[in-house]
Amino acid sequence: MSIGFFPGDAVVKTAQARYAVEERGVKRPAIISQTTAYGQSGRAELERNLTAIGASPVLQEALDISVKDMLPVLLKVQRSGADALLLHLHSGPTALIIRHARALGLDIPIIAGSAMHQPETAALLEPAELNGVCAESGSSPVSDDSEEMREFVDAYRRSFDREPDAFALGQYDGAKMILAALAAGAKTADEVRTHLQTASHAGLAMNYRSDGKGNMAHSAVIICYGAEDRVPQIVKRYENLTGTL
Amino acid sequence: MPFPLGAAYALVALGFVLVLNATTAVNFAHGESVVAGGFTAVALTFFLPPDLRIPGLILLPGVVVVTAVLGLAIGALAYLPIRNRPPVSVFVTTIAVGMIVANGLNATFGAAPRTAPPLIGVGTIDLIGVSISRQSLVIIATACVLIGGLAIVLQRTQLGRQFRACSQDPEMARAIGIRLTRITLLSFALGTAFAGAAGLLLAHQFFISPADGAPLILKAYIAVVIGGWGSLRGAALGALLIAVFEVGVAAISSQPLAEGLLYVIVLVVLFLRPQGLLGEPQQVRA
Repeated sequence: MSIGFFPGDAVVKTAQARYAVEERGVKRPAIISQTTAYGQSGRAELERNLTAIGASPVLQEALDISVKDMLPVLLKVQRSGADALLLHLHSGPTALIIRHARALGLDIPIIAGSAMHQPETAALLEPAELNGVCAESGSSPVSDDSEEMREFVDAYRRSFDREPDAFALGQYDGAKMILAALAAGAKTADEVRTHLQTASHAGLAMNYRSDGKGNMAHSAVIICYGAEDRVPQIVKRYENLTGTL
Repeated sequence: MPFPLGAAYALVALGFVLVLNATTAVNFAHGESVVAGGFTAVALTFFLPPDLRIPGLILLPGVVVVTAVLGLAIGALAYLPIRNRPPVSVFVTTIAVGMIVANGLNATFGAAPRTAPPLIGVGTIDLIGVSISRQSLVIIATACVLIGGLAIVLQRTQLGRQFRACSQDPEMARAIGIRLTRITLLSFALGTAFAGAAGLLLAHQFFISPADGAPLILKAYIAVVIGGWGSLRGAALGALLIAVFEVGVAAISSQPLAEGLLYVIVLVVLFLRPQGLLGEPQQVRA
């Protein structure tokens, strides 16, 4: 059994759907996803969650990762009467669809998948294009101003000369938990696994605990970008998401 | 509006045909030449002060020069030494050069997409009551100027006549004193510079990543098959048709369906008009 330190689609897509419906009042969302396995999994979770809380998607479209011009799918979104655009795309396509939506003047909320929280994705867009865009993620190290997080972000920048994202923080938390298991006396892989599965672990991103299936992460955040820079703010935290609405 | 993508694809396809006509061999490094053009623009911006927000169009001469040199290198290293061998040898050497370029860019810039500066400003302008993106207009206008310039060179200049002579009958061209090797290398330089210009035009609006070469060479190949093997006008027509499917047909159906339909059109053209829409029947497909 593998151990995961980043929240799966069952967790982050629940947060994305709940934020859209409960906080933004979305009733007629459109879902744009990737045709890859990643895209199919996230799309299914998003649709399931949206339907469960009474906001069935009015449009669902899957795109190949090589698609460069997002105008056709955005025109379909316009025609569908959707009141929000929910994305589950890889980094490049996420930035492309936002750029093209802005160029088209599509004026509905955009709530993206976790690719949007990555500083590399935001770097592809101008702050004016990012303004108002929100996204789900397991965490957002550059947005969190706690002292511990600032130390992590500074150390990461010094070591790797780049901005940390939630995946980097998940790996960091995971490595710290394994070191803690070793410090507690675990000597074999089975003993490390047992240690991880039988306790709650305080990480920088969140508190981790196993659900018995290897999933350690059950929290998510929603971030939103302003018009001034490419550093998003955390606007909502969701804890203990089970993936079942 | 499919025209920005179609205009950029037309530049890619025209560059592809220029080399094809000069060598009768397919340059499979052409897609990576487009990518190299986009990344040249990205790299050139590193040398500018971050606060100096210059229009990306100013980078065009630099991109053209760098990719023209790349084209000369591709011609000199991947074509000339094996030009008397079967065409499949050139396929392999140009594929190898393409892989070197793609992996070199990946090692230098990373695998993630990059964006170049906007060509001229951002936002939209109102044209006869229709709101159109500035980027789209500049892409179309720049491509039209470059294609028009190429047409003038080919039709009105001595160099253009030499290009056409070498493409129509290389042995006769050599017999009347045209330096075939020189024209071949110039074709690689010019064709690759067109690809590089397309890379610059695509790099802001559509981003650029090291892995983009393969889809682009496929589109250039299909454009030339549809439009007519070796026909410059056919290549431009084929490129526009591809963009119409990618944008227009996808908007009323879906992207996967539009992509599938495009390849149905390719098969229909191959069955019913193997020489392509504007091609000549006696030409040989590589």
